[in-house]
Amino acid sequence: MTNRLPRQPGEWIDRERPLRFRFEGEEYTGYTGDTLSSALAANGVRLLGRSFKYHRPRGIYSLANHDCNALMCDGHQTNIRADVTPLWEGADVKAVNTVGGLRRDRAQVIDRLGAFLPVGFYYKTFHTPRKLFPFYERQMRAMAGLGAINRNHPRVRTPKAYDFCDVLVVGAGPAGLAAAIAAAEQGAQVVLVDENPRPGGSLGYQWAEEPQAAGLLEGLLQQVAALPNLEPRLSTVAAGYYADHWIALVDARRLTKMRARTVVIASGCHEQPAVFGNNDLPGVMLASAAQRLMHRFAVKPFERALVLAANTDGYRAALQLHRCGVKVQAIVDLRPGGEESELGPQAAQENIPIHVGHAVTMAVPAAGKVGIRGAVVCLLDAEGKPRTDRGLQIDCDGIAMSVGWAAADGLLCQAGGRMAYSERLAQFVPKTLPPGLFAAGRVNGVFLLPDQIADGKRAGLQAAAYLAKYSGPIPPESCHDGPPPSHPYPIFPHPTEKSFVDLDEDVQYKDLVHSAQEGFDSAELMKRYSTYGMGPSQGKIANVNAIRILAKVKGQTVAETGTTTSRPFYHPVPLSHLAGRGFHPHRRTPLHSRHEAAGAEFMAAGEWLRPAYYAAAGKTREQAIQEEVQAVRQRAGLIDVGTLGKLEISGPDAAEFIERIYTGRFARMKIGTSRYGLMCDETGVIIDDGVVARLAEDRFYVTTTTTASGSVYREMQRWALLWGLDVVLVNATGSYAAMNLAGPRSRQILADLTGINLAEEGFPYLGVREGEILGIPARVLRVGFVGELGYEIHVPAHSAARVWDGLMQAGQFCQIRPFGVEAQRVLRLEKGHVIVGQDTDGLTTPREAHMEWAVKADKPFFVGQRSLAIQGAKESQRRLVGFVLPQGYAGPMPKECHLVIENGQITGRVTSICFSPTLGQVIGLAYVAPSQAAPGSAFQIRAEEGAMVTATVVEIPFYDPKNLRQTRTETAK
Amino acid sequence: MLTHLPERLSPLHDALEHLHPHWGQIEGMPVPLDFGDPAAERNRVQTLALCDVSALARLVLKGKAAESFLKEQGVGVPEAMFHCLPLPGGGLIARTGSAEFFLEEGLHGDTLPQLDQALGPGRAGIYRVLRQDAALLLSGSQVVQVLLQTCGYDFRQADSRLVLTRIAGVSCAVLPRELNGLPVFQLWLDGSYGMYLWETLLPIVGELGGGVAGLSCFFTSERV
Repeated sequence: MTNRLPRQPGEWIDRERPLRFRFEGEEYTGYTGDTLSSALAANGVRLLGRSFKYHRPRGIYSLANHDCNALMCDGHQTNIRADVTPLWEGADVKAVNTVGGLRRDRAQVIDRLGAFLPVGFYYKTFHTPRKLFPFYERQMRAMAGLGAINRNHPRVRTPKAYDFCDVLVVGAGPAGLAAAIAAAEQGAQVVLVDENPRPGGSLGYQWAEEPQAAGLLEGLLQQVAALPNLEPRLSTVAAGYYADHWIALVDARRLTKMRARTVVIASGCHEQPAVFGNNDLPGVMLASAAQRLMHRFAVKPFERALVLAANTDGYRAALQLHRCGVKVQAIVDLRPGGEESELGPQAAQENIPIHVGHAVTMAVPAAGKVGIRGAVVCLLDAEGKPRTDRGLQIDCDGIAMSVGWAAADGLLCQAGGRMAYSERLAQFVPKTLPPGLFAAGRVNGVFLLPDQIADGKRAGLQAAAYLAKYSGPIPPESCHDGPPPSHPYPIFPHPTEKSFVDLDEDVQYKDLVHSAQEGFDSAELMKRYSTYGMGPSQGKIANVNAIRILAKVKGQTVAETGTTTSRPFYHPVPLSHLAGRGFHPHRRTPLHSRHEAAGAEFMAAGEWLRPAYYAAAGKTREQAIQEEVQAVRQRAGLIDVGTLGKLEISGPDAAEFIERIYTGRFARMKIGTSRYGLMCDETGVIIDDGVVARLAEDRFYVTTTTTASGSVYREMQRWALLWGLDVVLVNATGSYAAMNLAGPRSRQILADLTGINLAEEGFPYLGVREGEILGIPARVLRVGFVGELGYEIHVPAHSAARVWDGLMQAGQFCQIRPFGVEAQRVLRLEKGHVIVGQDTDGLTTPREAHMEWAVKADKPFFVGQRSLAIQGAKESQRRLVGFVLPQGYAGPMPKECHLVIENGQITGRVTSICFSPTLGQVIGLAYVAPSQAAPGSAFQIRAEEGAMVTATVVEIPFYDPKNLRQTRTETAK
Repeated sequence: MLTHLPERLSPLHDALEHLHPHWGQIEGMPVPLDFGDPAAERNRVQTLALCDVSALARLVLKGKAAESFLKEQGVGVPEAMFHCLPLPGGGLIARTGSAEFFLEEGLHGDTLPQLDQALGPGRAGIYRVLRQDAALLLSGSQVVQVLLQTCGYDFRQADSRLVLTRIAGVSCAVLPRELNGLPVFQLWLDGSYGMYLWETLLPIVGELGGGVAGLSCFFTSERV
C-alpha cells in the first residue's frame, strides 16, 4: 500500500483488519473500512475504469457516488460502485466496460474516432434502412458501457419495509446533526439518515484539519447518543421523495418506505468540476475527493498536485495536501482578486506558488492517457477567457479542482420545492418549500461552519414547531456571509482535446453547444438530445455546468435558462430493492385442497385460483375437458363456484333497491324463487350479471361474476347512499362456499344428503331453498348455467369441504366427476349463455348482446334505463349471434377475438368458440353487423395467418332450446 | 355417514396439517394445540409467533336495532367507532359501524348462542351476517417488525382500537390486545386470503427468528 498515509485523526479504516482482494487479476491488500476505490488508490492504482462511449481511462473523480468512473463487476453483481462499496475479503472485481481488460482495452480506439461520433449521430444514422434497425440496436446495446447483466444471478428477495417518524433529517453533516438534535430535544421522534457509513459529512474531510471541527463533531455525536428518540441510520440513501413526506430510504439490504410527518433536508452540495481539455483523465479529481482520500482512508492522492481553485475551499484543500506530504506545485486561482481569507497568506507561507486570475486549459496526458503529467495554465483576460499566448505548463501528476458547488437539491425539488439561482452564490438555492419541508446547511446556501450549525438548529426547531412540539422563538435563517463559494463559469474548453461536461455519458462541451445550435436549446431538450445528466449519476456533477453553457450560448442568465426536472430516484436503486418481497394476493376457495388432490390444473380468475380442468392419466387436456362435459351431460358433475360474488341485500327497501339496480323485474318476486339479473351502468353498458334470489320479504341473496364482486358491491353501496334507501348490504363472497351439482343424476345424489324436498313440484327450476345438507346450513338454488338439472349449493366456507366430500361420495354410484372452468365454458356455450366480460366488452349494451329479454324497459326506473332508451332509437352497429362451423370442419380453427370480415371491413369479432362434444361440431358466439345476423346467414372469420373461415348464423341456445333438461325427473339410482 | 369428516375446517387447515400438529377441536373445527414442542412454543410467543385462531365463533349484527338489541341482552356496547369491549369468557365486541357490531366468542364464553337464541328467526332492523374469517395471532416483541414489512400503518402508535388496514395487500382488521396475559395483535381477514397471508407471513416470521405456535400457548381450556 504505497500511498497509505500514517494514521489520520478520524480515519475510517481499521488497520488491524487487513483484507486481500483482486482487481483485474492482480492481488492487492486493503483495510476494513476501505472502499474498493480507496483500497486501489492506496495501492497506487489510478486507472479504475473506462468511459461509457469513448473508452477513455478514468479514475477517482468525486469518490462520493457522484460519478460512475469506477463501475465494477464480480461475476455476480454488475455495476458495483467502487467509490462507495466497502471492500470485502476475497473480492475479485473487474472494470465493466472493457474489451480485453482495463489496461489493454481494445475499444479505446473509439476515442480516436470521436470526431465521427458527434452528439445526435445515432439518431441521425441508425433509423434507415428500417430493416437493419434490429442489427443496429443489438450493436448499440453491446457497446453501451454499463456492464453486462448476469442472467444467472439468483433472485434476491429484499425485505421492503414501511417506517414512520416525526422528523426525518436527510444528511448527517454539521447542519443535519444540529437539526436532528434540535428537533429531538423538543421530544420529536427523529430519524437521521446519511449515505455514508459514518456521520459528520464535511466535518470529517473538508473541515478535518480545522481545530474546532474534531471537537465539534465529537460533541454533536455525544448529543445524538444521549437522545433516545434520535435514531441515526447510516449507509442509507434517501433516494426519492413522494407525496405526503413519503421518502424511499435505501440501504444495503432493503428499501424502506419512510412516512415522516416533517422533513429536514440537509443534504449538502455536490462539488462541481471545471471544464478543460482532458479534464476526465485519472489524476484529475474534485478537491473534495482528494480530501476524502486523505482523511477518511489515509491515502495520499498525488505526489505532485496542482490545485485549481475559485474559492476558499480550494486553498484549504491545498494546505491539507501539503500537510499530507503532497508537493503542491501551484494553486491556480480563477479569480482575478485571489483569496481574501487568511488561507491565502498561509499558502504563500508554505511556499506554494499561486497563479491568480489563471485557469487550467488542459491536463497533459501521461503515456496511454492512464494519468497526467502536467497541466497547461493560462492567464485569463478581462472577459475570463484564457490567453493561450500567456500559458505555461506545470508538472504534476494530479489536479484537484475546487471551483464551486451545486446544491444537492434533488429531494427538495421532488418534494415540490422551487429553487432559484443566486447570482451572489452562483448556486441554486431554495426559493419556496412545501409545508412541512425545511432545508438547512449548504443545500440552503449556507457555507461557513458556524452558520451551518445555526441553520441546522433553526431548521430542527422549525420542524418541531411544525409538529406543535415547540413554541419558542425560531432563530432567523442564516445566509452566507463570505466570498462566493462557486465560480460562475469555470469552463475553459480546449480547441483540440476533449473537454467533458458529463463524464457518465461522455458528453463534451462542444456536444452541448451543437445541441443548442441544432435547436435543442432548452435545458430539458438539450438533456434529452445530448444525454447529459441521463447517466447513473443523474447529472450530479454535470447539470449546473451544462446549464451555464446553454445560458452562455443563448446569451441568457442561468436564472433565465432554468434547470431540468428532478424525478425519483435520485440515486440508482438496485432493481432487487425495488422489487422487494413480492406481495401478490390470491384467493383460494375452501375446496382448494380437494381440487389439488383430484389433479386440478389451476388458472387465475381475477385474484382467485380456479381449477381449469382435472388432469386424467393418459388423457390430453382436451380429452379431459370433453370427458368432464360428457359427465355433466350424461351423469353428474360438481364444480366449485365459490368464486362467484355473493351479496346479501336486506332491509325494508331491499326489493325497491334491487328493482333499480337490475334491468329486470324483481319487486313482485315470490319468496323462494330466483331470477336472472343483468346490471348496466348509467350509460347502458352491461357491467355484470348473476342470480337474484329472494329469501324473505326483506332479504335477497344475489350472485355476481367472479371478478366483479368487489366493484359491484361498491357500486351498490354508492347507489344505496345516493338513493337514501333503507337497505343493508353485505359482501358475503368469502363467507360462503358454493358448488354446482349438475347433471341428470344430481337430484338423486343430493336427495340422500338433505331433508329439503327436491321433488320437481316442491323445488322447481329457479327455486331457492334454505335447509341443511349433511347437517350444514345451506342455501340451494335451482339454476341451469350449464343447461342441465342442477343445484347451486351455498354453505358456510368453513364447512365446504364436508359438503363437497359428501356429494362426491354420494355420487360415486354414477361416477360423478368434478369439472373445471373449461368444461363449464363449453357447457354454457352449448346452452348459449353469455359470459359478461368475455362475450361483452366495455361498450356492449343488452340489445347488442341479444339480451333484450332481460331488460324491462317499462319499469319506472333502473340504472342505465335512460341511456338504453336513447340508444334504442338508433340503429345498432353490431349484434351477438350464435354460429356453427360445418360438421366435420377440419380447416384453420378461429379463436376468440378473431375478426369478422365483410368486404374487407371489420364488422365484428368472435367472443367464444369451442368444439361441442355434445353437438359434434364447432360452435361459437360472435359480434356481426346487423345485416349479417339473420339465422342461416354466412359470414367470414379471419383466422390465423389470414385464413378466411365461413361460419353460419344459427339460433341459440345450441342445446336443449326448450329447457327440457332442466326439469327432467330421474328418481331411480 | 361421513361422520369422519370434521364439521368445519380452518381456511389454513392444509398448511397446519403439513406441520403435523397435536390436534384439539373447537366448535367442530380441528385446531393445533401445539406443533410438537410446547415448551419451545411458549418461549416463542414472547419473541415472535404466529397462531391460527380461525376456529373461534364470530358474528356480525347490522341494522338500526342492533345496538338496542345487544343492550337488551346485557351486552356492553362500545360507544365509539372501532372501540372494543370484552365479552364474558374471553371474547370481544367491536363497533365496526354506526349500526354494525362484530362479536367474537372467547373459549369460555357463550354469548353468541344466547344472542342467536334471542334473535330467533330474525327481528326487524337486525341482520345477522355470517363470518367465516381466517383469524391469526401475532405475538412477541418482534411483531411490529413483521407489520412494518407488510403494512403501511404504524402499529407502534396503535392503542386498543380496531384498525382496518391492508397487510401484504390483503384487507385485514387488526386489534392490538392482551390474551392470557400476552400482548398480541389479532388479525381477521376474508378466509379466501387466509392461505396466502399465512404463506406470506410465516417466512417473514421465520426470518425474524419466530415460528408457529399452537393454541395452547394462548388458551387453556377444557373446551379445546
